[in-house]
Amino acid sequence: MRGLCLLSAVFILMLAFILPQSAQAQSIEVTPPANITDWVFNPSLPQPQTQTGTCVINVTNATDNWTLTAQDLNATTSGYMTEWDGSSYVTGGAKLHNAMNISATSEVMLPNVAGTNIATGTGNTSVSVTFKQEIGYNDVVLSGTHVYRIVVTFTGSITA
Amino acid sequence: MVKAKLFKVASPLLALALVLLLLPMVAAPQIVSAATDTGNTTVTGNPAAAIDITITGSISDWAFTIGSNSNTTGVDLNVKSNDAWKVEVKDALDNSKPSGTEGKMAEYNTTNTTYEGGKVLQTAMSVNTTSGGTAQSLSGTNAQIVSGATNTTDSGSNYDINLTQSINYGDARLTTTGHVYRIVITFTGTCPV
Repeated sequence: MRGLCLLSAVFILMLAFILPQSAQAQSIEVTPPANITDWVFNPSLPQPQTQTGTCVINVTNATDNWTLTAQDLNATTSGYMTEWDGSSYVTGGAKLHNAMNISATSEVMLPNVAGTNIATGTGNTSVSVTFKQEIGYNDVVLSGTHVYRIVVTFTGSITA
Repeated sequence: MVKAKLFKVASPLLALALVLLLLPMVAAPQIVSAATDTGNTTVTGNPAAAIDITITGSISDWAFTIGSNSNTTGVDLNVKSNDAWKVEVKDALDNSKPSGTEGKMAEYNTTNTTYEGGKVLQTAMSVNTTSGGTAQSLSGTNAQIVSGATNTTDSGSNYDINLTQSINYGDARLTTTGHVYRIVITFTGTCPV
């Protein structure tokens, strides 16, 4: 019986020392594509017009599976590039007539409230991301320092 | 004696309980829920000013009569613009139309596809749209026939072009086979204005 007690103590000590070194905490780091400034749209060119960027996914373990989503979380824009005066969205301002689409291995239309994935993968990866914006002659040219603006939020999640 | 026996029985159970009690404490740091991270990309842009005009139709074998002759169905204009715009017309003397005939229909050989013979109608053609606007007498210089203060729809704005040609007795009737009076009107769209 004394031996059983001793064995139990040894087992506990083994768990205490071995487990923390054999399993690391899972974490993911998302570096979104660089900002796109002064995108010059042209309704005369083939639509949609596109810009590309790279989203970098870094995970702790090479075997970690992950998903990537793109969303517009701002209720004011809600997927549509909206008139911006340099510091805030213009109340009642212009919006482009078509919502922005974000494409990687699959494509979503913003705002993508449901959080549909644009890519999935395993381990560290760079994901090529395409921003797609359709422009028409009904999309008015903004004057002065006003521009159309949207913020795209990229979320990476480690899956089981 | 009873106490010792109880200890003997309870000892393994205590040890097992201790293991079960400590195990979550040791293992807890390894139980990590699915991690997430977010990053934002800001996109800004503005359309470049753009205009696209489409001219459809032409007029052939227009049988003039003495007086004012008008055609509002032969030529149509579609304008697409994302800013304030205007459309102008002029006679650019296309196809080597003789200098000095700007705005006026000139004798043309349809067989040779050249201007020849030298006859020219006395009055310049005038152009406007059926939507209104001042009728502009064609010349070698651009003259505005229609404009818009803001952008059009995506499918554009449609206009019927009204061409008016005044004919009088001084305008000689062409009798040479294949000869007609001819003019090419150049439409130019500008945006912004």
